[in-house]
Amino acid sequence: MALDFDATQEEIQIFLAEAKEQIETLEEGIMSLEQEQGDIDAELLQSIFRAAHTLKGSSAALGHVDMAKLTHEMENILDHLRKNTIDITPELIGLLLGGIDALRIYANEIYQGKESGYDSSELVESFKDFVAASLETAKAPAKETPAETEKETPLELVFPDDLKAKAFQLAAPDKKVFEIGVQLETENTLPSVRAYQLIMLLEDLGKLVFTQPGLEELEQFQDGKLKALLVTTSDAKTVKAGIAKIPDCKQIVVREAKEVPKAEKKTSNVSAEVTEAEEDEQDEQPKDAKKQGQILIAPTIRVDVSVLDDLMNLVGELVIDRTRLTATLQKLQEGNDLEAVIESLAQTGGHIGRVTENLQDLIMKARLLPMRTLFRKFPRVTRDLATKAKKKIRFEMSGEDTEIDRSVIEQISDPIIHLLRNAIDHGIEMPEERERLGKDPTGTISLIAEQEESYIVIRIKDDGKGIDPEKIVAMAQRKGLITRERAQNLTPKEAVELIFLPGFSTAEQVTQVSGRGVGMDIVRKNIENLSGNIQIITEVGKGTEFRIELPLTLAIMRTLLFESSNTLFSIALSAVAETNRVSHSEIKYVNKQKAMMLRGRILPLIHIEEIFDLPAPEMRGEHFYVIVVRRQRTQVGIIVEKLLGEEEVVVKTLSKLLGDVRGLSGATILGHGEIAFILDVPVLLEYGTDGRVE
Amino acid sequence: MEEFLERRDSESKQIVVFSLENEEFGVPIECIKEIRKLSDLTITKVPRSKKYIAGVVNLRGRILPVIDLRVRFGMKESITDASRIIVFEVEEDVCGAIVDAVTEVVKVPVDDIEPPAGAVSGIQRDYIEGIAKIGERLVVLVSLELIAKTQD
Repeated sequence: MALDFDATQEEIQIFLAEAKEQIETLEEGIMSLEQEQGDIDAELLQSIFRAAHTLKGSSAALGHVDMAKLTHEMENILDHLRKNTIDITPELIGLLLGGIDALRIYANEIYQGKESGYDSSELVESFKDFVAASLETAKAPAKETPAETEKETPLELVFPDDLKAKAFQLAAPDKKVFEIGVQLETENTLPSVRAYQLIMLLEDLGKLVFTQPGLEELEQFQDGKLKALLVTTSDAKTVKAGIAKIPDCKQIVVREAKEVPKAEKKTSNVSAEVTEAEEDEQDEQPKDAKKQGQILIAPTIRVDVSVLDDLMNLVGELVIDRTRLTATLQKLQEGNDLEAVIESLAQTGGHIGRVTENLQDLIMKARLLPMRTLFRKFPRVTRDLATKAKKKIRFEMSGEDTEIDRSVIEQISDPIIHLLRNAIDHGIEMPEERERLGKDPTGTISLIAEQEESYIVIRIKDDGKGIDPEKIVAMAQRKGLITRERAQNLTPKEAVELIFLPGFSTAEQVTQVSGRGVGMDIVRKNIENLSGNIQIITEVGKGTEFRIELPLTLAIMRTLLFESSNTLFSIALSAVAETNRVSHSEIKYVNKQKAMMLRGRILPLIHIEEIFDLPAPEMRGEHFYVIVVRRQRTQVGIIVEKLLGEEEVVVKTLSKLLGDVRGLSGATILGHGEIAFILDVPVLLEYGTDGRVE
Repeated sequence: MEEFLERRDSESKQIVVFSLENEEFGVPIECIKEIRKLSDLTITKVPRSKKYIAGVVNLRGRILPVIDLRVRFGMKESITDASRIIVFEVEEDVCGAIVDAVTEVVKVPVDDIEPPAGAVSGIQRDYIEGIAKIGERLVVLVSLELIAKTQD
């Protein structure tokens, strides 16, 4: 059902932006409460309390009664905590976190303008029960409160009456109306794809009167809950069997709709239905609630007013330049002396240059967001994953203030979650195992962000069992991913990197959370799509570190331009260590590979034409240029014809229609409209060595 | 003929007719974004791309891939002053296709469009949407979108 509020769209937007912040404050605060058990920080409590209080007020003002009720109860509990009349217990933390999930669902409802069908009344009751029970036992450890929060919103099948009426109109005597609800797996899969398949299937089965989400909403579909009204001649079993053929359906409800339905939620819920839900999937439900909340990344951004003022000033400068140009044109038309015109043009041009440079800087800055926006959800994620995997984990984060482009933040979230999940599932050992090994039974996972030159480095580190290259090689061979020959020639580093091969999953046993088809190959691909790269540093028994390097920004890059075989190329300046003018006689051959000596080290060389199968130029000149590309210890020299200098370029992606253009990460348009291709640094480095060849 | 077409306006399709070697091809007008003279745009070859990819062009700040339809259909490469680039959309992408010439835009009654029968001069049948009869002429209707999307 559509949600209607007596508020303008802008008011709703403001409410959502604030709600998002308050929910985050609440979640972070509650997470730290849990960590500081016993030693309560009054200031922290005060800030959480304030967030709940504000949220209560604003949701009531907006008119979302359920949300206001829920926040009221949360506020009440926090108030008791503040006054020290109840204790912090794991139950309480669980309860509060459940409340946060529910708040996210509500916020999402408001965002989408549609009722989610979620009902928090049970949760509200358990809050009340908890307070009552705790006060009764006055400061004694709280009684066992049923962890109501862990229960997830059941698939509620409530359809608007008018739709049902419409469905019954369509139903001929031999046709029935079915209410269908499907809960799709949302972890690691694309629920929208499955939903699309489902809708297509249902359309084949009969007349589909209504679906939520509709086809056009599928892109935003994330919570995995699909509802539909179907008029068909088939029976419930057939419909259900059909649905069950589609992968990732966790829960399927198909029931016959009753005519002239009373819009009473309770009764419709109890009606005879064929429910199918596997046990272990029940406890995965809370996560879905969280997923729902994730849609709440508003497409708007908060910008400092001073930045806006600066932007305005710069635009003002540009307007002045425009006036100047018009004036100059007039001078030209009047035939004034050329000298003055040239002078004026040069001045204006220079001025425009400076202004646009400033504009560019400012816009880039406005696009930057602190890592905190991304990191803040990870303590909760790791906590949930660790609980599920029954492992003890200490989670540390640093560098939340590191700033990175907004578009990168949005796309790096999933790879990080995947790596955290890997660290928890496959890295950290079970507590008993750790103890036996003489390690701290509590494993440590660190998430670190920092800036290194024009790169942001994100490291995910665990002190678990590390990755054993031999096991990896054996596994890869068993799965037929590499030949025996290749296996024998691998260095340990190369061996470990086999985990990035499609189809590889190191888990001996596919666990509930990770290793469901989405593997490290996808992680690497996502990172490379961002023009970044990922490396593994691991030691058996000690732990593993994944190191992700990402460019600070995707949009604009400082590059070195060069030309070879009549093709223009550019390469990120950050990857260029130096350039050298070299004569033919300096080329040596090492193992049939071209190389040269550079300050006592061997530098492998490769012609740019060889990388891209371009026609070899007739190197008439005695000299050519070598661009030394270096990242950490790996380096390679690219032989090119002509260096054209540095240039700041706007990066554009290359169309997928071009097919595989390995080695190129994009293209750019230069001053006169020419197109230059941007080289993909990680691919170039594959031609290099890590300094082992001496 | 003209009058006849007018009357059946609702049941006719507007087809942009272009030529490749000595054959005529057509695409529904709604599939086309714009048509440019080849000589107005500079094609930059893309290293390591497929043979039938002529390269990329800069169209108002956008970098579009351009397919050489002659090469795509197994004909000999040939570029003249009459050569045109047909710009069309493929999902979220925009793409160009080089043709010998764009000859006309005609309204064809739907009844005069027949389903594809077999392959036409080495063009895969999947790309052919139908054959339109325009008087005595036969125009092969192709799906530029499918041609661009399918990589072989």
